[in-house]
Amino acid sequence: MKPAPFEYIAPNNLDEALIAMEVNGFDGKLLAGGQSLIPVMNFRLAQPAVIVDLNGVTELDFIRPNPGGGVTIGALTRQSRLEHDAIVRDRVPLLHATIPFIAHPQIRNRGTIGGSLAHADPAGELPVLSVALQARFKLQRYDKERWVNATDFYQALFMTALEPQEIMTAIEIPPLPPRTGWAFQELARRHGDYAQAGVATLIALDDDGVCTYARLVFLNVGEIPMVATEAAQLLVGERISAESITAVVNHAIQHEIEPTSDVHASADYKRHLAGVLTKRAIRQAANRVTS
Amino acid sequence: MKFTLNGQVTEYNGDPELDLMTFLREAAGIVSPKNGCAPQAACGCCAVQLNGKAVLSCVTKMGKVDDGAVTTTEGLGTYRQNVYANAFVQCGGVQCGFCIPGIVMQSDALINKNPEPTRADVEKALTPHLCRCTGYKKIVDAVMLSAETIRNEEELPAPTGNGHVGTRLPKYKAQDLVLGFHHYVDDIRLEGMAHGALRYTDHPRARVLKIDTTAAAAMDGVMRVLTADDFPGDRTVGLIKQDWPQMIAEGETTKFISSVLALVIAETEAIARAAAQQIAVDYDVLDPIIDMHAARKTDSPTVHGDTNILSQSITNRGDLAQSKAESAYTAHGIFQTQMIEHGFMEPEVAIAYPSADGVEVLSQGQGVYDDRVQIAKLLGLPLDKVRVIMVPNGGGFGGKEDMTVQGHAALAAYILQKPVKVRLTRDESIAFHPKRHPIWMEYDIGCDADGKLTFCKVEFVGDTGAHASVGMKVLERSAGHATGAYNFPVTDVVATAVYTNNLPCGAMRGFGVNQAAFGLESLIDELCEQGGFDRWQFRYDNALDDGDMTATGQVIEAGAGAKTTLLAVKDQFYAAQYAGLACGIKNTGVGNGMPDVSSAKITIVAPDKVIIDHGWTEMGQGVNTIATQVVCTETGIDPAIIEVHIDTKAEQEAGMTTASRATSLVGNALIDACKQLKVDLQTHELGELIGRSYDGRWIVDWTTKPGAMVEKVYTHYSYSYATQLVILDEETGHVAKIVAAHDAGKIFNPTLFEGQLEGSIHMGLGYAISEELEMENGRPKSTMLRQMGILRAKEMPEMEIIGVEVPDPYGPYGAKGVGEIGLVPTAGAVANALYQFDGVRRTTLPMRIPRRGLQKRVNGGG
Repeated sequence: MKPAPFEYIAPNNLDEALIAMEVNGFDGKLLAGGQSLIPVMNFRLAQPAVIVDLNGVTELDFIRPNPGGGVTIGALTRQSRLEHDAIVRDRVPLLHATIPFIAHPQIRNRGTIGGSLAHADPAGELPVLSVALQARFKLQRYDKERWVNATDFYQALFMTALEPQEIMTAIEIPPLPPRTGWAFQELARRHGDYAQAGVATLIALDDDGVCTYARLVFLNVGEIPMVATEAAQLLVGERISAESITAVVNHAIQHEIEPTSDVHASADYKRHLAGVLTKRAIRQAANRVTS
Repeated sequence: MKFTLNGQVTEYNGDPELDLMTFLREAAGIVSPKNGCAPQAACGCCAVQLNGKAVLSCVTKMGKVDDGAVTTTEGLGTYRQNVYANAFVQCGGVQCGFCIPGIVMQSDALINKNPEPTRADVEKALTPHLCRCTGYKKIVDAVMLSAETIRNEEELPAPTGNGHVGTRLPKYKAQDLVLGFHHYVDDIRLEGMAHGALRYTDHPRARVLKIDTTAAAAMDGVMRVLTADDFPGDRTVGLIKQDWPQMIAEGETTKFISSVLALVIAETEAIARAAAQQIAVDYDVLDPIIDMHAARKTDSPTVHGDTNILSQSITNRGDLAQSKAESAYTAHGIFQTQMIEHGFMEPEVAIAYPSADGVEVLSQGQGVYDDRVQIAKLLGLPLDKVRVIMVPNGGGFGGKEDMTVQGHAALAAYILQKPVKVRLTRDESIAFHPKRHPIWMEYDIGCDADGKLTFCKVEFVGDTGAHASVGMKVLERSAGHATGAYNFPVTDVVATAVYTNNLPCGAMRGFGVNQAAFGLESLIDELCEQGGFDRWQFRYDNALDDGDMTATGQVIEAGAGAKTTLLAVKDQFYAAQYAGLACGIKNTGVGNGMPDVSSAKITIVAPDKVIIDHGWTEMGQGVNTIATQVVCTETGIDPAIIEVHIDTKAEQEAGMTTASRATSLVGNALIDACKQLKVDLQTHELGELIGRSYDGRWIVDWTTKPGAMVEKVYTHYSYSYATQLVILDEETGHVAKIVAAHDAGKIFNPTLFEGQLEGSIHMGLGYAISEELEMENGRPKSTMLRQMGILRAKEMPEMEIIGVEVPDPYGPYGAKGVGEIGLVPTAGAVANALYQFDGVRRTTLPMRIPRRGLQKRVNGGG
């Protein structure tokens, strides 16, 4: 199908984009990489009256190291650029290693980090990573700007803290605490499909191998990226062992995720899968801890 | 690269990163796009069309213009130029005019796309534009009229009139304002003109140990770096108190974040700004004094001298304790108001150039005679060696009373013997000129069992920031208007102005009275609720009448118009479900023992040319139009042949254009000047009077200082009165309509009158619900104009202006000032309306209303 008629606005810079959204926010949509928006428009699942095309706003395409560690990434930065960028590789290895799980290279060449984060698909890798890494998002409106934590940004299925006139312009990812290992695990029936379940894990260990910090964030087992706070807390103060991992995994999959059945997998299967992936991820993250 | 500019093929091979506005204004000599905030993209004054779409030229890179077509007002063609110019003038859509050329280009793009726009379409399209004068309503009227005229392929003739008082004489020379052809100071280029840039302190409070200018002075293109030692005269000036050094010397302590340390003069502005950054400064950094309550205490470090208390205004009468004890109902409240930015569209700029043995200055300040006194002092020159010429400016609202850059430009021109321009960017402007005082106030008022007001006790504390400016007068005005438009038999009022290292606070439309009205009107509603009194009737029963007393004990001898304004909103008040009322009173003239003086001169230059010289600043409000109307009414001279000049060379003494007094004073002075002219015109044709001048003068020197032991108190010679009614949307609690009934004594020009009030309501509603300039540790949290909370066109509610005429015994034709009172009652009326809606009594400004609206109170309203 073809999309319903819409007005097309192509701002040349961020100020023009902010004005366009101020004027059209309620009946308009932002177009970034278009990898999700264009299909839903073509299926007429979305019929925005106005499209504000951000692709001319090149000032939002950047990767900058932050002075205290971590990076700030412009919202219009393509996913493929993150995949091949040395700053991202060195400073946010979890993000770097996870990008190849996103769809296919052609899609990553167009898809942007901001577009994927704002789209808020619970099966998307980037929302899960942003929550795992405790990123913050810069949300700009014509007359004000604010920073929102990723953990507060995702509110419900495809619903976020973004106001209709706001544009996500930057993503700030803080550095990992010292001695932190990371892992991302997901399972899709074919590589590049939406995963049936997945998990991002961070583990910090002290010199004696005792866990000092743990974070588990799940993909596609709830309406938003699901954070297993209690389960992660069970690991803190423990060594990584079969027993401690089992306790954590059981708690997480029984109490802290909310999978639903769909055509690809049943809720029970997703729950089981999340457990298996979490076991692997905790081991992998712990093994990546370097002194 | 090539592009077309107003139809002409233009070649450009410079930096593709250069912005289009700078190219147009500096390289192409097209100054109709105005620089209001570059590169903030907040005000829309620089809008032009690129390929038929309106773009902000300050953020459009030349690289994007390649192969395109750029259109400015110059390229609209005569037909459309005339339509827009005449439509805006006819509708009163132009006041200072600084924002209008951009709005014209935006509207023209809209009309091309949609020849039959609705008002909502126009308001939406104006989103990138700010206007601080009009409240947008008349701008939208003008765009609608333009669209209709163009759609019907009609002509729109220039509006005319006989100019008599009471008629809608079109604003003086306003067609040029609409099209951007009027040259504001920043649009003027003089041969061989150099440019200045200021180097500010890096800390609001720090001892300056060393200022090293060597690197800056050595840069290519830098002509001179000036510091405190270079002033030939006394570098410390001020409108009332001399406490503002125009530069801080080594060894001295900075006063606030925009204390100036040095001035770089260079061949271009870019070089001057780059060089200013190269000036290295060593400091001994001190903690800034930021809290006025702490600063009042005797153990606080001080900003100036040995106390931070700048002034105290005290007025009282009657036995407070007894009155309080006898009152049936009392209400108490502590209120806090915020600092706000004036938001005039034209940032500060001055050009100075050497004259034979002195200096001449092109100023956009609100008082060219005060500028002259201060500049003469800085340069150590007698007054007659300094000439200040007023260039009608892009808005003032009180924010251009103190000098910002006039002194620096004059110094540089005098020393270098060259023309020099110094201008502030929007960021600099926001951090520099004095703001509206944040005021803390504690009010106690009471009434008897019948609802008659008994006493008013109030303490005001205002943060005047780093310099006095007119802060003592602002707090004096709070005190003098503490009882509002009501009769209180017993009063006890004290108002204190306190120095801190925050931005200076000084004059701003309303001048301390808006703050007081917010507190007082909130408590009036509290009394009504306690005693079960009707909110309208209570106000009517207590409103000032002839013979009643103001807070200072002045007996209103005649012209009390408060009750008439209340009657004007009565029916709508009772018809509305959720409504808030507030009244207001505002002085005309400074009074308080200071003389209000005006002289004016009429010169017959030719049979078809008459010049009026006066000393009041034209800043959009229309004082030049008012002056013309007085002369036309008195003499019958055709307004088309009258020119108006404001230049200190003419020696037509006037003070600051402030205190809502220009109409009243220039009117009376011109009536005086016309006396002899009228006599001569009975026996002569105008052409026979060529070369003759007619001088007029009017003075009020009999007002009394607050607290002075006098038989009869005359705090001000005149007051104006108002009632505003705020009606809320019944579902969301957003402000849906404001009805403003204002007593102007005599309405000189209904178009200008409505324009003043609609603009005031825009400013007053912003003050009530959205505007704030937040400070943090002596620094503004933001210097972005967009973040000041100034309301845009689509955010404005419906406005209805009702004019009331209760003549003043002293005003010309009975006129009273209307420049400020339009926002005196607004915040109080909004607060009272919101209370009706959700039952929450708001005591701080701004009272932000969530976008989703408010929660209605249970069992409330009505």
